[in-house]
Amino acid sequence: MLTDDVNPYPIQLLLNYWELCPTLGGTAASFTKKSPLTEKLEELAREGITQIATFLPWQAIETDITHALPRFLHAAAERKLKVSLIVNPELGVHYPNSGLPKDMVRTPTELALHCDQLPMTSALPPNLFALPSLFSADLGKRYYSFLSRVDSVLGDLGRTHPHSVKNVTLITTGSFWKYYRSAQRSTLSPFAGPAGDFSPAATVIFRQRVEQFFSQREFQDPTPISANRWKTKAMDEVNRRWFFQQAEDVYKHRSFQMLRKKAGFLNIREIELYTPEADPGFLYSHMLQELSGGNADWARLSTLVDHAASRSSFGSASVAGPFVHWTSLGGFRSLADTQRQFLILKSLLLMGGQGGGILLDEADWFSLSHAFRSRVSTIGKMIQYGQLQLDTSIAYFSPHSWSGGGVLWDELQAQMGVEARMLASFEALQRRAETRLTIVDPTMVITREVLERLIRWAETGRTVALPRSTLYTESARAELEKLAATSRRMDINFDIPYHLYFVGAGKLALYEWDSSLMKTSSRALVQAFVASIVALSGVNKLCKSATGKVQTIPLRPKPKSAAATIETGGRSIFIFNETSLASNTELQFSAAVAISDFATTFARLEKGQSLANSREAVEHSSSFALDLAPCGIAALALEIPSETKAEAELATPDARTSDAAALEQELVRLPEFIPENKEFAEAVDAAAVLNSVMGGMGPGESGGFPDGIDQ
Amino acid sequence: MELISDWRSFRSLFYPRRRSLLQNQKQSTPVFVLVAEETIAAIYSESEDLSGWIGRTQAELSASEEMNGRKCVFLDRPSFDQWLFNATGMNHYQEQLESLRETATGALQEQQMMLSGAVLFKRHFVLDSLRGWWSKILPSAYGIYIRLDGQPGEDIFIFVRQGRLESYGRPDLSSLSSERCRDTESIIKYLAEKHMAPVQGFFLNAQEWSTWGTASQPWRKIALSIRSERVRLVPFRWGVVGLIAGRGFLTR
Repeated sequence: MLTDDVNPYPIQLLLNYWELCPTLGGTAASFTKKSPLTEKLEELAREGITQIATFLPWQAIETDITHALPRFLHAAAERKLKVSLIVNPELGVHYPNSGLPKDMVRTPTELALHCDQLPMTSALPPNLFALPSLFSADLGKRYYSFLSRVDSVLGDLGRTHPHSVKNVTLITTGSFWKYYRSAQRSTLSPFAGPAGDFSPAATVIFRQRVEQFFSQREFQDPTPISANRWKTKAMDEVNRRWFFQQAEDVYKHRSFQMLRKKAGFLNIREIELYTPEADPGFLYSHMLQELSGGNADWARLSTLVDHAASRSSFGSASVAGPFVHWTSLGGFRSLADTQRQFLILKSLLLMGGQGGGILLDEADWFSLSHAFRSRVSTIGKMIQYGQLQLDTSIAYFSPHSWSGGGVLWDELQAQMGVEARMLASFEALQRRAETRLTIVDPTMVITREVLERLIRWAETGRTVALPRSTLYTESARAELEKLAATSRRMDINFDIPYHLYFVGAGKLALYEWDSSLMKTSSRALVQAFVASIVALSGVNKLCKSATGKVQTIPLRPKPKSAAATIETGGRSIFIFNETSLASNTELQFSAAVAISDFATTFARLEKGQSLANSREAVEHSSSFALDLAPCGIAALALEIPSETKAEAELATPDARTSDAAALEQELVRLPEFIPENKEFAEAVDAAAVLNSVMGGMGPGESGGFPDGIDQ
Repeated sequence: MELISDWRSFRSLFYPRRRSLLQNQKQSTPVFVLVAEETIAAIYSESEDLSGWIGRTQAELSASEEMNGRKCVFLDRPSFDQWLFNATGMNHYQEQLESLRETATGALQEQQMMLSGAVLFKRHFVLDSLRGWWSKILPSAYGIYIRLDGQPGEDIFIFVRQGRLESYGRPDLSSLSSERCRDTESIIKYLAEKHMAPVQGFFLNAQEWSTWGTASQPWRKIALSIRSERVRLVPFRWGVVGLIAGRGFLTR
């Protein structure tokens, strides 16, 4: 199994073996020395390609009487090509019904329904079809039998022809779960509204699971009847979120296990494969485009990539590296070259920077200019060696990866851009060492275990923002009260007030939340709250653009990578002009930086030359003007003089002081983030005064915490 | 393995990539809007990001200066959802798209709007002919095999039944020997036997094919190409040549 730290192939080229039927010059033995497949493999090998990926369509495996898969693997192995086999059903596969058996997508009772009780349509060629429900018993039975067959075919091959599978990696993905969303809501805003399957089959399982989940002892405290409050109709929306996440996790885990029975000797890599062209948020745009005969809406595709990159999912045993699949089937193909290049590079940086990458059809890849391919390959290599990593400074802990996060998440994303990430798994959070702040979604059910894990995480010098909601179990509430009684407390009386507790070297902010804050009119309050919590955690957004339609993607070397040890300040920043018009923008950095051309700098680094004397002399400044061409991309290498000190602090969070003076220092910095908000500045001043007073107070003396959580 | 709806090959031949519109052309393109209860649910216009309109009202859009003089095609979103779902019962993407276009055209005619003048979409002349009056005189089931030589070389077999495109894709010729694969007549004979229907083969250069696709009178070009032997018909049928020439020179 591959570990989280390895990102061997951020650029995966897709070659679907079943498409290469022997048309010309074919013989009865379709995979002999001179068939289209072998010719294609040889062509790729000549081009210097060493690794390819292919989907395993469910239907193709079920009907593979000619043993096409083993023959393909054998042919690839003969040419020393490494092969990744994408096992789970995904959208955007060039096979009828994306590879699903026909009867599974034609039976009305087997179809998935979104939250508005309508079926969801996949609109990518070779045909439109309604998504089946992964909760359907028939589908489940047949799906696991398909996995068993894959496992068996590969297991047998490993026994009889070990050479053929020596370089094979199995890829498991998250399948359709992420597409179970309403097209209407997703068009309004990507990933808006509740995601999940609301079909009758799913609802039956949901009810069963709710009964089972709340029969746990913790929910029956103080009396068994207490569990009923969790099972009311009003709680359905909350409960469905964790239920869908659990169902997805179970699906991933079972799929993973099924492939380890006979083919356990193979590497398994867990990824989250996302196809923007198949997203419900692109459905209407795509179909209107087809109706009109026009070209695709690239701005929409770009927005979808941003939103997908901001959500991180966990596989069965590791963080699922996010991949974007650009098919040659949907709107992507119709875009102008500059737009396609824009999307490819952007998705590579956003996904590759998180341990994932892009999946492209090999024909599409070779249709790009040689110069562009060469640049992208270099960036791919840098990602592979850990030189370009995207930080998750702030995590948003949500019960479901694919549902809308509400105004709190929207605001966090608006303020922090690509540095904020939504997670639904504590394991994923724990593996992100760079994360400084976690905001917990107000719809999260807080059990004692969840609370303890969050507190432990905060104790290492980080900040956790917890909602004050009714969704705490009795024991979690008691635990929090205990913590409140033994920790120093500070009240921040802002529009959305919160209590601040000092836990270990970190902080725990308990914020007030009610449903009225979900309204658009409350956006300003949420905005100020997010800004204050972010500032409190000490997270600085490295770079902001003065123009709204210009996006910045800051990247840095992995702390332990070789690149990071070459020299300090190995950061880089990519700036994308998201419009079809030329743009002039001003980049504002949180500290004075020196910028230089990315390509030149890294070319010198690659040659082993020192950066110190080679960089073009650029004056240190915190603001730079930049001209960008339509759909233009600028790449800059950054040198941040103050970084060495800051990184030293980051590397040793335990060493960070947690005393009142340090907090005061952080709080004093808050007005910088919302300079025009006098109320907030006053609140901060008051807090600073309170802070100095609190210096002499003992634990629990700061006003008590009996009202900490609403019951 | 043979895909019965090989969209990649089909699109490559019948829907070549079109250049994006120039900046000054954008203002003349139609705007497609999906509306639910007077509110804009989705909006599309080529090469323009109009997403800011989503959630606003149809009346606001119609009254805006931005849309002044532009053709707006309004479609009902719930009906559109239903059309999409109905299309899932059909076999392949081309059939589904045609159905969607027909339904949308019908719905717009009821509103006394014309879709035809509002779209950039232009059906390929071959597909257009197969759907037209030719379907009345051609056999009820037949196949067309087109092989393009050049870089890259391509080939496609389309099968038509009752005037409707039933399947399309690269044919599986794996059961033919290499020798027979080089013989055009053998290929056509094999396909005709396999599908139990007459098959007409066209063997030509890729460049020639792309010239036809952009010509204002493609059938005339084909007729001239046949005469100058730039395209080879296998088998050579006078009836087919007559139809092509008739279409090229007698109709406008």
